[in-house]
Amino acid sequence: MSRRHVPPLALAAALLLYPLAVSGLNGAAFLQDVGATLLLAAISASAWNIVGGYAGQVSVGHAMFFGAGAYVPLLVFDLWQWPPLVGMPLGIAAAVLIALVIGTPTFRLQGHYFSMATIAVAELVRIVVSNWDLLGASIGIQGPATARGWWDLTFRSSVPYYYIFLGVLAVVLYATYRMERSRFGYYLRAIRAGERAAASLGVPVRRTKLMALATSAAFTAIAGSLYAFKLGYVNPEAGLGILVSVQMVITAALGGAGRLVGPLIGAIVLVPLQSATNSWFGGSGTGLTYILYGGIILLLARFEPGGLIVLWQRLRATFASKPEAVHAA
Amino acid sequence: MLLEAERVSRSFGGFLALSDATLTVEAGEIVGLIGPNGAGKSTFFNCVAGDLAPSGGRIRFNGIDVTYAPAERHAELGIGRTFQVPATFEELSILDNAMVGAFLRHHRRADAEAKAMEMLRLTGLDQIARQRAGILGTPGRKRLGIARVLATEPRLMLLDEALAGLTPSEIQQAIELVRRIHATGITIVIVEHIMEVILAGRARPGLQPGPHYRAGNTAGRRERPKGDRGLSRPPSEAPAPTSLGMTATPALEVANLQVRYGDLVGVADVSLRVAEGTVVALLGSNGAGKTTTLNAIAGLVRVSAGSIAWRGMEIAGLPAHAIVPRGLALSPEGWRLFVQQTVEQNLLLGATVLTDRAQLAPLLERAYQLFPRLAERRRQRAGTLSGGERQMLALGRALMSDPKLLMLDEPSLGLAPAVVEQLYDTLDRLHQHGLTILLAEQSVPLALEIADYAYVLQTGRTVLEGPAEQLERDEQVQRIYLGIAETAGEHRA
Repeated sequence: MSRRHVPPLALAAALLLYPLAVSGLNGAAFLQDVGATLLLAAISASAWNIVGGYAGQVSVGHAMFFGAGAYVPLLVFDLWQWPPLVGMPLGIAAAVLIALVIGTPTFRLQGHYFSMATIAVAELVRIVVSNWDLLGASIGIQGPATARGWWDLTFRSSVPYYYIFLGVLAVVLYATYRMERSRFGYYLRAIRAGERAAASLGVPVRRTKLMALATSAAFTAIAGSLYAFKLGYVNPEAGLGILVSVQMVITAALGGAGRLVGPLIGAIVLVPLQSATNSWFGGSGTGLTYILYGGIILLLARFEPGGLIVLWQRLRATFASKPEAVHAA
Repeated sequence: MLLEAERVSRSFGGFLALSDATLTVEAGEIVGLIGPNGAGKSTFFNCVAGDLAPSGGRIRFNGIDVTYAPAERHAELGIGRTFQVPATFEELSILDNAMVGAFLRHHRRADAEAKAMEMLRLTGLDQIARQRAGILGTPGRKRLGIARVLATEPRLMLLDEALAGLTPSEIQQAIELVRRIHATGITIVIVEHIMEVILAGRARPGLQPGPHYRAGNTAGRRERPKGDRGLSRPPSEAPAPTSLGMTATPALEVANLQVRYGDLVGVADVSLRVAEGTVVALLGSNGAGKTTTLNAIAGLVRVSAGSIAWRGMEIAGLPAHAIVPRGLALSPEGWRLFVQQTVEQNLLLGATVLTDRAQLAPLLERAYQLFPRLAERRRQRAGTLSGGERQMLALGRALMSDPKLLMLDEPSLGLAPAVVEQLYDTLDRLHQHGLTILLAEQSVPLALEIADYAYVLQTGRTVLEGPAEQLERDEQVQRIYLGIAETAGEHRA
């Protein structure tokens, strides 16, 4: 085991032990719940990272995939009393379908125009769902109130969710890791760095982007489903609101977009900060959340667009080179 | 026949960039595309590479019709291309850059890496393969661009100005590299402005696309004596050529100008003088630094070193909006019109630096007198104008700030010969009225016809200067430095 393996292994161990470590503390349930929320944010931001980070196609409409993943499991319960878990694959399928349908026209746009188009489509979806009685309109829909069995994934404590989320996060990160090293991953980064040059080297730009969006949508839908399992209900604002999309972007960008653990790092910083400000100032505090996000965007844009990972690398490089400078002097 | 391009045309809006270009390349050849700027080399190149769809004509590669195939299909079939500006994936490592290319034929990571390393060794980049590509300077980026394409295992390589921006010794190495690549059996089509390269490389000059500046057009004009252009210049007013820009106190004096774009050197060392009331031409091939020089004088790019003095006052480093009021105006390459605005609004936007509103009406009047076509179209959106009208508008807009020095960047680019003729007549008239003109132009005969004095730029340096008549007579100068149409015409395919 070389030295570069130490930080990731330490991080993995900390995440594994966290619920147990805080179980003795005052407000353990709250802390465990924050932990689960953190992991969920890390999953959805990691999912976003595939298309938004690696491929550089900054979607600000991922809420629609999240919403598909959240609504479908609760819908199948609402209609036919199926366990929400059964609805998850359907939710994923719906998200992939949406991705393929909206990706084809929106990928004709580039840069900010693409981002704006994704916002528009996601808002459209939210407004339609808010007025669609089958989906509970603006009230939303509810999952099973009490568990009929483990398969309903309805637990009172946050700890089972925490470990489910941790398992899913591990899967997402492993998939991303494999992708990073594959031809597909190389093609995504080439597209991000320059589409024209990428195409000249034989990268099928449109198809690759579409595949990235579909993959990303599938993982985002999983995050949505997990959200629905844990909360037991979903409404248009929580499942499809623009804040859901923005949170994915900010979380990934804060840690480092296009980096494997960037979204996780971002979530580790952002979610506790958000929970703390919300509990200090009371309420769910979306207004405050906006201010927090705005501040983060400002800081990132001004000081380190590469996010915390790049900042860390830069600091380490600065400190590492210091002793040599002394030597030379 | 490996590549057959038949009567390929491409227009952008009303602007015909390429008409009826025909080129055939046999397997194993090296073919050079030469010709002045505006001849359509880049457009032709991009059509063959699949970056642009032609408006007309046929392109076949190895018998397969690729006229409308996308760029990635071209790569798949074995057509590789480099870019004039290398388009490096800066955030990726040098190895990863090459691996993107290698993945085309090797889907396994290990195979792609082996192929990429092989090509990095060939191009001499293997020692720094793990470094970020962003650290590379221009020569390194060009090498990497070549390595990346080689990794796709092309049968035909299209090299777009692989040598522009390199120093002479780097150029020698690059030529060596091109020869090595050719020796491996790859067919090469190269667009290169540095004429020695193609002439010395025993390459076959391939085509002279576009009808714009064929020898016939320009030769006729050149035989006409200077000043015999309808509005003849009074002999007494014509200053003696020898004194121009040399002894007279210059209105504009640029000394050892240097402009860098990051690692890329746009202008390495340019010095020039423009005397009051003269026309000075800035000649040289594409990438020689003409545009950058003009942009630096106009304050549009940051000057890295050197000085620019206007009527004795240092203006280097001043922002563009502070330079225009001092009497310098630029009519930029590609016109840069406000296409959503009307013709008149465009003209008025050229006059924003005027402090006295009373000047506005006479200036507008003058612009419409110079270009009656603009008066006809004053309410029309600039985006609907033809290429010639756009050039008139760009020129008219520059004149609206009532400049003392008018700078023009490639005014003839992409215009029909008749329109060019008209435009140059107008410039001549402006000159008669005492306007000082600094003109960057790739169409050498045209520029020398109107200019009193000329500077030749090559790879960002002034390499030659002299009175226009003298340069006009110097065959060697024309052939080597300016690559005029005659050279290519003799070898037309």
